[in-house]
Amino acid sequence: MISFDKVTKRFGSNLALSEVSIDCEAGTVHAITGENGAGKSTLMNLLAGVFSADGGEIRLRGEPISPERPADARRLGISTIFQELTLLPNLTIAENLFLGREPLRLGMVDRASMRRQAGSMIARLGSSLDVDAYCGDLSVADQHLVEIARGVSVDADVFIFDEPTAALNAPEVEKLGELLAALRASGKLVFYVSHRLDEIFRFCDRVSILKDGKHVETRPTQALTRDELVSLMVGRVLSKFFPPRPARPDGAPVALSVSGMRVREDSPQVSFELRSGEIVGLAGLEGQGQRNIIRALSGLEPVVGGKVTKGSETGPMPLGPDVVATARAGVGFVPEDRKTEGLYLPLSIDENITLGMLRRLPIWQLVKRRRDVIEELMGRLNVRSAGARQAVGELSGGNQQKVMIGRWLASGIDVLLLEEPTRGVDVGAKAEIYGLLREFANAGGAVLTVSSELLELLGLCDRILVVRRNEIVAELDGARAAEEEVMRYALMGRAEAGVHANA
Amino acid sequence: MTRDAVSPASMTGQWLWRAGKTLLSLPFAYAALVILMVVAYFMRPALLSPMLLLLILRQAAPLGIAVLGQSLCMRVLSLDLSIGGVIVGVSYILTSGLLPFSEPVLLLVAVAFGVAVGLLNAFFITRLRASSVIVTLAVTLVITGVAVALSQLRSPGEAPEILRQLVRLKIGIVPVVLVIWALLLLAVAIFIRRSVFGRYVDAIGANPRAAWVSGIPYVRVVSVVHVMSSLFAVFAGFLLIGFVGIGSMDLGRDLALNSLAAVILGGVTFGSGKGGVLGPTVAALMLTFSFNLLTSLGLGEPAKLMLQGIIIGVAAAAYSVQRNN
Repeated sequence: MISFDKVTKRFGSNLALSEVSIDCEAGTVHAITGENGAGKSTLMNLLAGVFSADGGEIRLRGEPISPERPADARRLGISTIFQELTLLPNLTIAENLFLGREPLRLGMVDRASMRRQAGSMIARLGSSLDVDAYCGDLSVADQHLVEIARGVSVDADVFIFDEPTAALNAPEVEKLGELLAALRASGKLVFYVSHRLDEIFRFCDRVSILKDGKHVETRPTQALTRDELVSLMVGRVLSKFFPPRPARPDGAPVALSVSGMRVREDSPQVSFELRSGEIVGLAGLEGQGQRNIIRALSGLEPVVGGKVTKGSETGPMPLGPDVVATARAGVGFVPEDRKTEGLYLPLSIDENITLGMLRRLPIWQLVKRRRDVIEELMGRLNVRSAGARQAVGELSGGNQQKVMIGRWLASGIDVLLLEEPTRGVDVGAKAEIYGLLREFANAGGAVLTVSSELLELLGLCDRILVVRRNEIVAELDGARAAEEEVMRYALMGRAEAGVHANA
Repeated sequence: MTRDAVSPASMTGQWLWRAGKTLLSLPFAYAALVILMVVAYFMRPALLSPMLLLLILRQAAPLGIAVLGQSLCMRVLSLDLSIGGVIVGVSYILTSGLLPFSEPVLLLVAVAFGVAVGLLNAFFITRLRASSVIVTLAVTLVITGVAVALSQLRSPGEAPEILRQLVRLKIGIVPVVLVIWALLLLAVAIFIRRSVFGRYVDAIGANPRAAWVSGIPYVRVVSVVHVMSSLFAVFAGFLLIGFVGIGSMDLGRDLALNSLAAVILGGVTFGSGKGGVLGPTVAALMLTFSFNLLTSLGLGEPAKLMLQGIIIGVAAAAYSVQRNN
């Protein structure tokens, strides 16, 4: 039905897909899996018309196709259920399901028929949602259900499910399985992008594994064991540009202590300690709650329960859900999206960095420009610019990232929380950023970082905490942990991975 | 040795070009003021006599002081349309005699009233994330409504003697009002340029989301900005009441919109510190001068209203064009 033939896609200098060739047959549920950033979503986005390929060919029933917009893909009979929510919040479920294709009667929208059909579409998914409810009032999980209902109601031959179960509960996942079986029975081709092993083995006939943008293998799921699948997904080489890890003395003071913290009502408790002088990484698959943990610690997101205390010279002090107080207490947060959440792009490098140094001063205090301090720091950060007065928005991604981290380094904090420390940064700048973080830790700071690049965590961190479904399922020594071990915990959780490790 | 080969003529040319570029990058208000003065020179030269100019300057002071607050608000992506309401409130407090206090105490009450309005604005804008336009406009309406209702009971009367004296005081030929205005201008300019507060204002204007994420005390900074704006409005009210000599419900009615126009003409755009405090000040002078010119040409109130409308309309359009780029 669909053939990918040497499909290649680049984002700037980054090769996202490299000569991927896969044949997919009608009447199958075909899983696409791999680590974070392996190229799963990119491959599906080419098919869905979100991006265009830079090389190779995609064929539908032997005919080459090149959908340039999602609408083109739909016309070709390819329906995509995206991870992102695309429902209009101020319309009802029924109105959303039939948006742009409302049933008509005498030129007017036939609301009765629309509601009836919408009701049966929702019921097929085993849900009892009221079709007159406004989508804006629904929970995220229910919105996903409506997305799925809309996606499968389209008259198409190829369906793409991109991580469809991320927000669903067990009975809903069950119903989704039945739906997939029904689609298979009617001769459709279903792509199922997921890294949930359970679902791959239960729902899918075949599985294609991607790694670093390359196609590793495509096999029938029945011919694979879980362990084989995990081994196929991992196994990359660690680069050499990480700074050395000094031996950590026992009994370093606790910099940040988290006990019994929960990010949501129904999520498990999280407890761990961060000691000064160490870099700790939160590993896990996308969307398993690492981000919520780090945002809760930084005071940006509320926590439901538990306690966060920061160690200081005068003793432990509790931290609340308040960014201003957290920053004042000496905890800095570097967000993933530096353009919208991190930097003041129109302001100069000088002004961006100075803002960090003001952290503890009362707002009415007069301050002098510390040109010398800024220049010294810019030298240490190795920021390449036309001078301290250049607007940060004009710098390259790597230099912007250095300025953002430098702002906290200049501010005299002792705990640094980072989200994706090197997102969108070239290799040279990456090595420099790792060096800066290690320097900060060696000087007595403590670093906690989230990264979707597992190799980065393995190379940089002293300890790795593996997060799965908002829970810390393993604590591993960063210097000794292997990629496969981390992935095992991330994919299977504590109990199952433990059994396999002992076997 | 190419540098030596540059002829004096081309150096002058370069200098002129650079000077021209600097002039063009100046806020619109500077050019407009010069043009208006040239027009006045040919049509109503009397307006340019030193005595009249000093009077116009004095007359511009309330707007000039209100503009200081408005420009601060715009730097943190907010607006203050409650200036008019504050002045009506101040005028009622000071002149109605409803509160049986001595003049200095009444002035203090008026200041406290200004702080309260500023805090109220800030509360709605920062905590409830309401639109600053709607909030401050609503506050103006409520205050004006209350003042009008109370004036049925007890109508506004004579202005306090202190204020009437204050606006008449002179050092040599320079009115004290102008000295106070200049000092306030200087204080605000230094404070914004040199204080932690000023850095935070720039940060919030450049990226409010980043300011919040990195732990800048957003709520406190915006609250201080709105309280300062209300206090400047209170002071502008003092001067207006002193000028007029009696309280009235019409006092300062157009000050909010004029201050908005002056800030925009002075080169401050939403979220930027461009134009500093001098740009809006020059714009306040320019507006006041233009109203006087219009009056002397016999065009008066209707032309003034049209001019205000056009300025604000053009400024709003310029703002959205700029934002879309």
